[in-house]
Amino acid sequence: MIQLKTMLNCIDNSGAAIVECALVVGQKRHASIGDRFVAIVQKQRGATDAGMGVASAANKVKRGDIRHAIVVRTKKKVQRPDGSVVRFDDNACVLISKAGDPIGTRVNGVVGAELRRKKWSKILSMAPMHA
Amino acid sequence: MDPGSPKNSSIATRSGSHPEILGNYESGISFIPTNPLEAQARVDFSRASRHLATSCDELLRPARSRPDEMIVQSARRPLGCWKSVLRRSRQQNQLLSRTLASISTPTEPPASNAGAIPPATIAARKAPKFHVIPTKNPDNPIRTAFAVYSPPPSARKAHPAALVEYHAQQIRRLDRTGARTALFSKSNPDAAKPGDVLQVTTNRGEPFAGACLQIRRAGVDTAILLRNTLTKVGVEMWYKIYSPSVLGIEIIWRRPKRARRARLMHMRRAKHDMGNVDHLVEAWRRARNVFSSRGKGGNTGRQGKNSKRR
Repeated sequence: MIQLKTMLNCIDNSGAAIVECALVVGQKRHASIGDRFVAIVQKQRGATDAGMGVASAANKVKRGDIRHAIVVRTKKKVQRPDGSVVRFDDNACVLISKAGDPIGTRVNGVVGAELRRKKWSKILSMAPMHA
Repeated sequence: MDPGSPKNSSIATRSGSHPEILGNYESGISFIPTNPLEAQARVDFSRASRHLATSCDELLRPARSRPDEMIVQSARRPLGCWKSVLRRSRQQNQLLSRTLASISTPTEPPASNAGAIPPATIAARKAPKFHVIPTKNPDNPIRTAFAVYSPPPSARKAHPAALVEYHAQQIRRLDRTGARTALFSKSNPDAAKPGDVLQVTTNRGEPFAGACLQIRRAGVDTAILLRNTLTKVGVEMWYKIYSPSVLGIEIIWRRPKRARRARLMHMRRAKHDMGNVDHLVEAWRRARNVFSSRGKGGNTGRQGKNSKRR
């Protein structure tokens, strides 16, 4: 159940570590696995706790950036057509461009298989495994 | 046959085992060895020979898969050894009774059809009575053209517990051998229980293995909750045990001591979390391969597929 102000882990190598949901795109209810939302980068990878510091050059996004993102894991249970249900221990997302291409080049961590039904097979193929 | 037999049976009864099960054990295997380890080895051997002859179901797989672990258990806890030996003897008896049950099952579907709700046309075929208006002359009442039909027979009276019947019928349809029901039945001492590690094979994707946190018993909607840790993230899956998309459920690892709760939600907390169960799955596969390579002739088709996948 991703909605306004929800904080999610970002599990790609775009440079963002934690993002905040600002808007769920295209629907008036909460977002689930495979849904698109507008994200604000709250914490970036490699940044020191003291502040912005010197972020590594590989980071494509930095703190304060506004990007689109796809939910790939939810703590809320998601039911499949055959009656099985999947639930993860955290909420996680992957940043994408406005055109729908992933910003990062790899995904670290398991993602939900609902992405195939929602036509995000590009993210699915980058993921090490899906459940 | 064995001089040590009376001594051993007395040990078994003292150790709290059920006398009737012990009786089965004695009748099923015609010797009582002095050493529990030896007993286990002999039982193993007899079981392996049976596997050659019969294509066994998934219920029997776990027992086949745990010879090494059991030996470890017996070295540590002699009671645990007896428990496992008795479990094996029970499964042998089950094998016999199950073959009989499978013979009798084909007769069931017609019986269930006979007990189905009768079609409505039977009631409509009855000749209708016509409404009659009484007059002053009782011998000559006015017979009207309005037909009066008797009410249809009450389905509620014919089937007082329709929902229970429906669930039973659906379970018969989805679980023809009864193996799935037995795997989670409360009366089966070898059933899967919360805390065991189970593996569910579905008709698509990788099989999912995880610790069983909960069994939700609800007739044909009975479901299990499995938890595993994949890429350091906890993943929980609910599976309907009678779902046609669930091809097989196997017991990978049995919890050494019975869980004292029905729902093991504390296993979500880091302190009690089992973490990844892949090492248990690997051990189980290796143990199973030992038997499948020996008993090549008696293997079922599904096992062949599994060995190919590896």
